[in-house]
Amino acid sequence: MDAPGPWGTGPFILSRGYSSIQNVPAFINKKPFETTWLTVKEERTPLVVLEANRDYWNKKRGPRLRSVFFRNDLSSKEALHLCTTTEGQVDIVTQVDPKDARKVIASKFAKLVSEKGNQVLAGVFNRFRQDVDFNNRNLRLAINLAVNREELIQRGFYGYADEVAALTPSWAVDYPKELAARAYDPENARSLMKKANYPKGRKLKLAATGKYADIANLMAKQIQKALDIGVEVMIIHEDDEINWMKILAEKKLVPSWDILLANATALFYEDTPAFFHREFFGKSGALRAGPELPQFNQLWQKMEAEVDKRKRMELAKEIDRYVFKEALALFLCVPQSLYGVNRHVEFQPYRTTLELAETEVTKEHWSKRTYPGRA
Amino acid sequence: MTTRNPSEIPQGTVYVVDPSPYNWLYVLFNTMEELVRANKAGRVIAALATSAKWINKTTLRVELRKGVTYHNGEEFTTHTVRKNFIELQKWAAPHPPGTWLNFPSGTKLTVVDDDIVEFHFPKQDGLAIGKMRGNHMGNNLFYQTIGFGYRKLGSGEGHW
Repeated sequence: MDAPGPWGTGPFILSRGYSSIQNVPAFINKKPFETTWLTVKEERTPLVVLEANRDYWNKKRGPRLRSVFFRNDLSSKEALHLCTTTEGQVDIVTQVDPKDARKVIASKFAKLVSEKGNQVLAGVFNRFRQDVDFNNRNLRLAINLAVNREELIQRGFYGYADEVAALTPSWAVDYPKELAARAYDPENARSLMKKANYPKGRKLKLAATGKYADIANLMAKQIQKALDIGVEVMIIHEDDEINWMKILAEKKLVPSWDILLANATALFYEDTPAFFHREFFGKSGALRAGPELPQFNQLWQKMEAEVDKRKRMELAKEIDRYVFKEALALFLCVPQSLYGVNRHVEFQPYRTTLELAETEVTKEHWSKRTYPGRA
Repeated sequence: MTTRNPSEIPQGTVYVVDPSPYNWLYVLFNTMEELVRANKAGRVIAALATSAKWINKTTLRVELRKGVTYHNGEEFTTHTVRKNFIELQKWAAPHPPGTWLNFPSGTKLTVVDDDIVEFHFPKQDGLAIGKMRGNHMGNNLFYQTIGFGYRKLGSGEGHW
């Protein structure tokens, strides 16, 4: 939204400032017209102020806070420092890096709040490549068995991530209960690699954005060790990220990587394949790196059209089972959402959004304390 | 020992730093609502709707919540839903995640009475109820003044 105003019915009124984005399109298909948007610029005022809507219809929900100030004048690092060492400057910091979790835990002023995340992380296999065949299930499965997810979560995410068998996590309503993440199995991985006829001496090219650089390096070591092949890590420069993502989404050029670490985001944890599986493998998927997958499309079309919720849930499970069986991506984990929160704030996290209607402060909070000279 | 606020009166102020690229959406979700929303676990629940039921394979009947007013006092009605639906359908790609969140081209909305609207889809769309999370219900003033990028860029696409 470009300006504050009384535009909505929500628990808060946007009374000052704004937060908006500028995007460029990536055209996936001409007919039917399918496109996605890539954010090139965020436009935020230094302060975005939300005031309580005292006439909000859902009193049970809230709002319980008089006002919320989004501060856009601080870096994440500055914000975390202020949240953990002072009061009255920063009460909630979102997207805390797992590396910094200890700092928050040790703070006298803040506590760490963790919630299941809404982004699934996986490696996209580049099935467009000519010199190596990622359409071969043996090759995809070999790489899946060459990654030690437990170590990745402990060392790469400091424990703040959850294993996932394929793309649907265990807390989603449409999770197929019988699926479990594949265990690290270097022996079988090597045997499958042999069957896949992976070219001798060829280095595997693993790409990632800066955000996942440490994870990519850790995975490279694991794959190198398990499969006895060279692995080259390509870290995408921040300035080039949009171009790389556009190339992938539009599918007109063949990307130069073999595997790209990428994430998809869920607005809900039901109809989960709409957010995750479709994005990685579907006709309209911005992260699909390869020709369309007829069997996947068929399953997706069935699910998308089904208006009976129970039947749709079963079809969603079928999709997750199918992509797991085919090892269609390098399935990894769902990083948790970590928040640094002032100890007197009763923050109520949501898994798929950041909404503050139910969040409140205790009487010990700096904004409610009575100080000498303060009414 | 902490004590939660037992009254219904909003109290206190918090400062939030949210580096998420979705901050624009979170500001929207905190201030503007939709027919459905996500609960804490990520399930689809009713918000400005009270129910959404398929009366046949392509017709979705939505009953609206009564007594909801906008921040400027405007009443939320079936006509507001119609207005927002028309505004959304003007654009080819009105959602940042992509066109898959669009209602299919040819979708129509009819106002049945003061509390009920019906969506008529040209084909079965099982995801329709969840897609309603992407149809933010702005008031008349919003569209008369800024809209979703209307004033700034003259378009409801590419800018939110």
